[in-house]
Amino acid sequence: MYNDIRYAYATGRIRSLQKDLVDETTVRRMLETPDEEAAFAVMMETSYAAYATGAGVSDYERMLEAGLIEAYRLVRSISPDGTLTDILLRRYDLHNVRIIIKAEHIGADYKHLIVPMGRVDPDTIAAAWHLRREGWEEGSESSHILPPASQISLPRWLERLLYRAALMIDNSGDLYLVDLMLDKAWFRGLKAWSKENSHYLYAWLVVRIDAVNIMGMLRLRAGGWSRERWREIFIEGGRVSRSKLESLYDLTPEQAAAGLIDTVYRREIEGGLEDYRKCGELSYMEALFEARLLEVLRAERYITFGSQPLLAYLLRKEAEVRALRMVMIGKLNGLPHDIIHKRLRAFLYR
Amino acid sequence: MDILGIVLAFAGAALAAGLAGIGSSIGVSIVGQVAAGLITEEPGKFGQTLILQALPGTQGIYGLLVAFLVIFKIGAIGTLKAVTPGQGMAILLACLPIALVGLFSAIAQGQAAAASIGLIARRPEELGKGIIYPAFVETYAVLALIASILLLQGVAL
Repeated sequence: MYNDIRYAYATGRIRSLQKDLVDETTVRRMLETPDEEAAFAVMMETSYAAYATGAGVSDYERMLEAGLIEAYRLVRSISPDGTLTDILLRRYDLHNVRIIIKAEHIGADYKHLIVPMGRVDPDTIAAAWHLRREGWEEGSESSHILPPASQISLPRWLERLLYRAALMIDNSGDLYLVDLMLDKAWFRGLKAWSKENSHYLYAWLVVRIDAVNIMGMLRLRAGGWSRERWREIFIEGGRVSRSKLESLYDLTPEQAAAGLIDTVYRREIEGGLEDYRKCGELSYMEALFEARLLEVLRAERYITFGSQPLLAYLLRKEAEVRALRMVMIGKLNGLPHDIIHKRLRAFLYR
Repeated sequence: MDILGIVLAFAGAALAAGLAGIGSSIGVSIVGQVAAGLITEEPGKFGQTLILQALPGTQGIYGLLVAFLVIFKIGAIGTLKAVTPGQGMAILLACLPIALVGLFSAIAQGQAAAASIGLIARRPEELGKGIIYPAFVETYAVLALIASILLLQGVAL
């Protein structure tokens, strides 16, 4: 059964909110403006205007963040299953973990880099991290790692990640490995949740994993990185197997991409490859994968009520924020119109 | 007087009104929940959603209509007529089309109307089309009502 009656109210509400998502025409108008002031003026016509403080263009990032926070807050308040938003917001908790660890490592202030979107208070994460492994007990999956005397309460999954990160830094001092571990933890958590709760999200995630694996392989190959480094970043769970990608690793990025044409991502690979031949850049292929991800989300149109419209709304909202940020950054840095346009491919031709 | 015949006829009336009513209440509830979500954001669309919410309610009325026909046929209001077990069974069977089709079509119509609310959320000018889709589901409830009425007419007391 595709329909889940528990989501009837939430779906009705989301169907209305979908109208406020920034459309292609607005993004095009922003893109065609001569400078950042004019682009910002177009942005002020969208729902993000509600978060403006009057500071002008410099306000745009805060407005985008506020819009996204509000979208998550609203969906969480109407969703019968809170884990639906929690699992997506885990990414922001992991971002904050990453920031806290790196800031401590280089002795810098991190507060301004914290994203206030996670489900766990960043100060609590920081307090747990600053305890480091002092008094931590390595136990089974179900037992506490943080000592009860610390009075710090963290979700079990986060406790385990902090513990692993601490071990990694003590053993190797390599923050890159911690980064990878955190990235993989997000994919692993999302995969486990979606497999159990949402085939729709799982289908999206599989494409996302493939996109990360394929783009990672081609980028590392183009950068001359070793095969071992690529093995470290590979994420299990996609449709394109590890062996398939590994067999292409010794080829040039162009040959490797050509070797992937027989996969289900023919359109993205062919389009990206054509652009790579012309400009030597892989950003267009990445944009095509982004378009593919948005295409996967379209299946929610055929769902009368269920978690799918809610998930699609949040994931589209994230894509929208990325697109608007891309335009504003491009305008602020004086990037040529066609460069920004190419990177916005996903948003403009979905 | 054979009580079994009366019991079977009563069971038919109860099923017609009960099952079709259950279907309608579920259908109306589905549309109501989706409509409430939309109205939270756009109160101005109340009128449009109300029309859609009313659609799955008709099956319950059809079921009640058939129940009334049975009640009048056997004289349940006033003096009960003699109903043999065979006649009682025939009345029960005559009630089944609207009971069963009413139950399932009302739920299906509720889902179709809920989908139409998604349509008018984005395109309020398409309300007409949004009503036509769930209205087609009504066809089968009407056919079942006709079948039940004709079958009841065929039972001579």
